[in-house]
Amino acid sequence: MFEAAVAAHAIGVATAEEQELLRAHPDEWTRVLRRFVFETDDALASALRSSGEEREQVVTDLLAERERLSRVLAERTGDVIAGVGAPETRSPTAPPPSLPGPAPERSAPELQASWSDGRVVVWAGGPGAPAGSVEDLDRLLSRAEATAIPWERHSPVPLPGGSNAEARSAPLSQTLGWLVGLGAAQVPVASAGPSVRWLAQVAVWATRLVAEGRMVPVVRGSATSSGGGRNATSRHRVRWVPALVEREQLANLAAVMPGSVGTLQPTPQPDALLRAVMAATVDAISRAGASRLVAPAAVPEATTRVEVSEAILAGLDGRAFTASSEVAGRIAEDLKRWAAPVTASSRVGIVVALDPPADDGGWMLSVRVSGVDRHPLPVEHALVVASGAKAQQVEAQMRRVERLLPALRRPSTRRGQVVLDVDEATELMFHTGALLAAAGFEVYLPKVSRRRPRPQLRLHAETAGSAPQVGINQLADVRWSVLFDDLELDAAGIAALAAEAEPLVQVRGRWVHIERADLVAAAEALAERAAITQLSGAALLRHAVGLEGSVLGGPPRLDGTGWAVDLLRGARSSPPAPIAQPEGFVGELRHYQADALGWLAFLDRAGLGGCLAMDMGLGKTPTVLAHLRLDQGHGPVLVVCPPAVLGNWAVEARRFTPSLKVATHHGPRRLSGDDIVALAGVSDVVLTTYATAVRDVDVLEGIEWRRVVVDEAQAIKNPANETAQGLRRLRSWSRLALTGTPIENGLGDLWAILDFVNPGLVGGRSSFVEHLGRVASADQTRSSGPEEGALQALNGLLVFRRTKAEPEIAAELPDKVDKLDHCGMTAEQVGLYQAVVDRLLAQGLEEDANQRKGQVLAAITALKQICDHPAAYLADDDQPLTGRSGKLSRLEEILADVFAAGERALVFTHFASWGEKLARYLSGRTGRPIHCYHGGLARGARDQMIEEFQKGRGPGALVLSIKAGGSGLNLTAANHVVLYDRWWNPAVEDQARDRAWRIGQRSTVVAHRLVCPGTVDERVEEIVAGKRRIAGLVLPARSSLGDLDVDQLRVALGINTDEVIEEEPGGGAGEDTEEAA
Amino acid sequence: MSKRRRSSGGRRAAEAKFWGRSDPEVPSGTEGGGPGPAQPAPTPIRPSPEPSALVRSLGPPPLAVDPAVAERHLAAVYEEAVRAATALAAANGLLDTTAADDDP
Repeated sequence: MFEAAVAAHAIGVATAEEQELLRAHPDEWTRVLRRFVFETDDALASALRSSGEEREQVVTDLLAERERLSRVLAERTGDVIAGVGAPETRSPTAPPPSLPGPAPERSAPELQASWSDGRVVVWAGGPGAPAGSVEDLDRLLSRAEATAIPWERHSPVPLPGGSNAEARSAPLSQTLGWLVGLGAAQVPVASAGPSVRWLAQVAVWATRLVAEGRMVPVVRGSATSSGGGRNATSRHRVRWVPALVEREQLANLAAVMPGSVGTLQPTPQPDALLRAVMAATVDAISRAGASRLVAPAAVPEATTRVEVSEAILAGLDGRAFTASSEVAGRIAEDLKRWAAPVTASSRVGIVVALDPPADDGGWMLSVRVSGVDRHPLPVEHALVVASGAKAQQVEAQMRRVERLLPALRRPSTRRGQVVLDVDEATELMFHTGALLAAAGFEVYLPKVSRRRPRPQLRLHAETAGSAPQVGINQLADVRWSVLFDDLELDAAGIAALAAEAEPLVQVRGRWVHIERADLVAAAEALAERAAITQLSGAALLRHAVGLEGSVLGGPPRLDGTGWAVDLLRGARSSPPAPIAQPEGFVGELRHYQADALGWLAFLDRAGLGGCLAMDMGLGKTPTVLAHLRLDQGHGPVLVVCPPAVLGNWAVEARRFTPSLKVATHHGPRRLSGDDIVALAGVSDVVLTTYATAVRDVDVLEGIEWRRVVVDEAQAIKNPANETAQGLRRLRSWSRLALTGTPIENGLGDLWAILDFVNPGLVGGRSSFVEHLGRVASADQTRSSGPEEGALQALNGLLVFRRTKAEPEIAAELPDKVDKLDHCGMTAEQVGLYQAVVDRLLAQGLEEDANQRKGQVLAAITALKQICDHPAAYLADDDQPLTGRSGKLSRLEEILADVFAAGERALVFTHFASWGEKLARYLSGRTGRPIHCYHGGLARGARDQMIEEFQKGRGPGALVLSIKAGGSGLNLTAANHVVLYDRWWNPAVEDQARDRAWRIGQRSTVVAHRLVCPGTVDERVEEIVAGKRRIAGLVLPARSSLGDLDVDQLRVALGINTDEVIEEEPGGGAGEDTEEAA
Repeated sequence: MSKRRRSSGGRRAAEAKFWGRSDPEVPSGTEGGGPGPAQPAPTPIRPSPEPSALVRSLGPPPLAVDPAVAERHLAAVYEEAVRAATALAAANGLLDTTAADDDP
């Protein structure tokens, strides 16, 4: 009884009574344990000497029993009794023994599985649990997500203790997906017993073998045959068996197989059962793959070797075929021998290693054999050491590797050692190595990179020793080379590589294959530049941005020392720090404006001019004002802009940078001569228009300007016109151009702007257009077109480009932006306007208040029409519209910007007839169909107009009568709204703007309100703004224009010539009369 | 096997061995029952880039047909078999999707 207690405790099934008994006799417990260990050793030694089918099972059982006993003994005493034949050792740190608690009670049945003739048999049971019923089994199958499998009834499974569990079974092939899912824990495993999980592990392992191609076909025949003698035939099938199976893994998995797996086997042996399950799984997966192919034809009954061979090839999917027993049997044996190198149990392995090249350029390939001695041996040595079967295995493995690596068969001083040339080494590293590893060999090769390195020209500059100049004129000594990733090659290095059949270089520790075509292109690029040994700063800059041509797919990489290198490094690798809170700026800059401010400061440090190319509506004006405020005190700045935005500059300067002293130089009463000089002397900023600057250039060029800023710089895109020529005469420390559309008609526009702000830096126009166009086209990452690509190529250096399309910027923009545009009036407009006012006042006012009000309103209507355009007022006017209205000129400028950005605009007017004229005019001017939506159209025509506009893509515009189109329409295809003329009710204008600014609109809506200062337009603005002071008149509460007397009306409606912006003849700034050269 | 312990202890050992170990956290061969499989996480499966490498290393199969034809057909079967195993692995989240050891 005491011995039974010791044995029970060792396997963890001791009852409480038995544990108490052992605790009461500790010394006896230890003695019995020791005796058990020695007895087990005796039995083990005897079993190892025996033979027979059960030998392996017996040895496994005894080893497990010994391990349990030894562990308990070591826990109690610290003694470790070594295995059979080894000395006893004592563990110095053995912990004091402790009794485990009683074995846990388990009473719920688990899902179990057994193996039987290629079928998985499932049943419910567990230790301490009653045999599972069909209901138990179905419940467990449901929990294990196995109900989709077509289980069939199976005879009950006998359990320990004599009971039987109800069972179901299915062919392995039907359960494979479920078992692999269990093994991968994709299927719930909680209710799965150890036997199911063991089978799942085998299924996963078999899947891995097939995925790695480690299986071979064998032929199996049935035992029964028909016919007799040499004519006997039988049925045969191809089966797939695992190959190159890891012995240790096999033994480990067999050792942990629950006995329930093999309970339906007559003599269950874990190793054999494992092999059977593994083979069945490999066979099922392989046949499933083979069945997808169309099998070659074969005779119904194969008798000759040829016919049987054909039947085997046709039967690789496992289908049965009838064949001569004798012939099929011989071929089956041949196939078995053929596959033996990968199916026989063998420890012999092959290790293939390639050494990096020696000094003579040869690559040593060596093959070693593992599994013969403790360490891998050279082939010849291994063949000497191994004998008998092992030597044959070595030969077999060598033949295998030699088939895949024929170079090993070359005559050599030693078998398994051969020197490869670079082409063979390349082939091995990039292709054959993977083949060898897939065939089960151990392969050690130098690391490779399969990424093709792209060559790039490198331009290294060092400041010339005697160079006195700085900046763009600074001379530098230059050296040319080509970079393949980190590897730099000069002309000689490239020539040497190009001479090799398979150019191979080492980059960052990996061997890289270089394309011959790349070497040729690199050699040509270096040859073309061999004579260029010195370059100026300007030339270096041009090279770096690709303005001197792009070779090898892009501009060269510039490094070294000097002005140009420092400039590029500063612009590209560490962008200028944004200036988020500039001193003296009232308000908050958005993040991209802060970035732009940092860039402007960078330009100043570099001594360069630049182009601020932010989209319309992103706030170029406040950004530049902030920059001027930071630079205040270094001299006056001349800002040249179109008349329509002159007022806006002044307003925004007062708002954002109130400490800047801003003066306006424009109009018939502007200063002249020395007074202009004096004005510049006391001002920080002088605002003027293009036409005024050109007219007064003789005086302006005599002033030392700190800076010249040209706003809406597309006005100077024609370098040959008077405006561009005149502005180039102005002298300044730096120049800055602002424009939302730097490339209206092509890269030539950009050249004109950049050549203005940095004369001579960007080279000639033709080469600029050609080379920058190539740089932009080569950048395949941009989908916005070559023009945008060109801007991005220069972005951060000579250009600061930001668009509303950038998500970061769009997120920061408000939903809508309201802009007030002050428009000029032509002499014709001024004359008509004055005539209407004079006529009203001369004819006298009606006595009746309502009639007088009607009189006044009629006059106001006429005055508003005149502000729009003389043709809006003169009913029978058939003169061309061009150049007769400041508002029309401004509208054309706005639409040019909108169209250049690919966006769409709505133009609202109160006057339907004027709207129709406007639409026809704009269609002719822009070349795009622009319609007028008004109440006179039929319903169908209006609906179609709206639908066409909404569906249209790209630039577009629609003119609308504000009464017909001011409400109810969804026009979210537009994100610009132009209110051509104003009315008293701001709600009506808001409604018009809201045709675009509504749900469905994804872009910021920019609303432009066109106003002629000094006219009734402005008075409407004041009313709309909620003021009760019109033109200086304070109106009593509840009064209206009808209550005003003649003098008050003259003030309220009359033109204030001091405020009127004179519209330059010819249609305003930027109107080209000559094509650019 | 030692006959002295073919009593209740031996029967219990046989039973434990029959059922295997349910608790995957307990290492096999220790207290609490007979041996049973632990449930380690399966190693991801990386399909062979050369499905027929192993069979090619064996040389032409000993069949009385044109060796090139036999090799071609065998290679096609291996391709499909590997594909089937890959699909099985992929369906159960067992595929090794990490990049091969190469340039970052």
